[in-house]
Amino acid sequence: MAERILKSEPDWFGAAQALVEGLQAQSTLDGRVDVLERVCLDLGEVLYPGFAKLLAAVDHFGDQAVKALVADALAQALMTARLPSTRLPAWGAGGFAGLGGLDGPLRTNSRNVGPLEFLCVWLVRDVSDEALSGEAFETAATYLIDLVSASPRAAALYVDKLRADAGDPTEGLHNAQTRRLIETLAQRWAAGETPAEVARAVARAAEADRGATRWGLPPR
Amino acid sequence: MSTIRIDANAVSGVWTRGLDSASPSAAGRQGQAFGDFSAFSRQEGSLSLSANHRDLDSTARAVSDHLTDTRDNGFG
Repeated sequence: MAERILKSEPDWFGAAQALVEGLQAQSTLDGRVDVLERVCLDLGEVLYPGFAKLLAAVDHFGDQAVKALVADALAQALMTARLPSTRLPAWGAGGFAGLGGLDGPLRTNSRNVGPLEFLCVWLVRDVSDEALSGEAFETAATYLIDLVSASPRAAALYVDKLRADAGDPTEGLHNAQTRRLIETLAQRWAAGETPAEVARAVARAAEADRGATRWGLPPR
Repeated sequence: MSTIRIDANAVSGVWTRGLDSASPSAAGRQGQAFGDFSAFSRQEGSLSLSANHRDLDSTARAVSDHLTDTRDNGFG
């Protein structure tokens, strides 16, 4: 059976260029959301980190007009609850890796996560057998925050979404630790800190939690 | 000899580094690590809005072609 895997040397520039050309072909914001959704779906849940990295590549290679094109589409996606997302098992549903993965029995107890929430969860939970380092988180989150911030509307909507997720006790994805991370992200972002400062604050909050756990204080 | 993977559909392993490792669990895995952003600086170019447009199918196919390979996972 064939499966799709990431190349050992993916062409991030070429992929970002193709995405931008696809977005430009659409005359409406909803059409651009269709493009983001289709690209995300085609890569699949297994390669969702690749979708997040593709957005990071757009930020890295794109000029301000390109970033605004993508960010405006993300704003529309947030407005219409169509933010390209993947599914992760809810908190307390058990370990992630080796239990059938995203298509396994835990799928029914899973929650949708957008790219920034995905990175926050991956930073502290067992999403993959490759742990996400604080440094990788900072780099990826800085790119994504910068990209979304190209549209003030997208940034405001994303902050609102993060706050709503953090404040919803029945939401199910976040434990106290990941809730703290998305609260930190939303708070620092809304305060106008630079993307790098926001990402660093979240990484440090995660590191502080790891330190507390090391000293025998379990995360709540 | 074929390698049996129990995590064929999981995120697990897709982003693993050290792909030439002798570890059986790493056998056959490929892919750039998520955290390896040095690939961005190895690629030159800048993106601007242009007259080049793609339809939905072409966009999805091009993105996939630039980023992914297909391989037989030994099942089916």
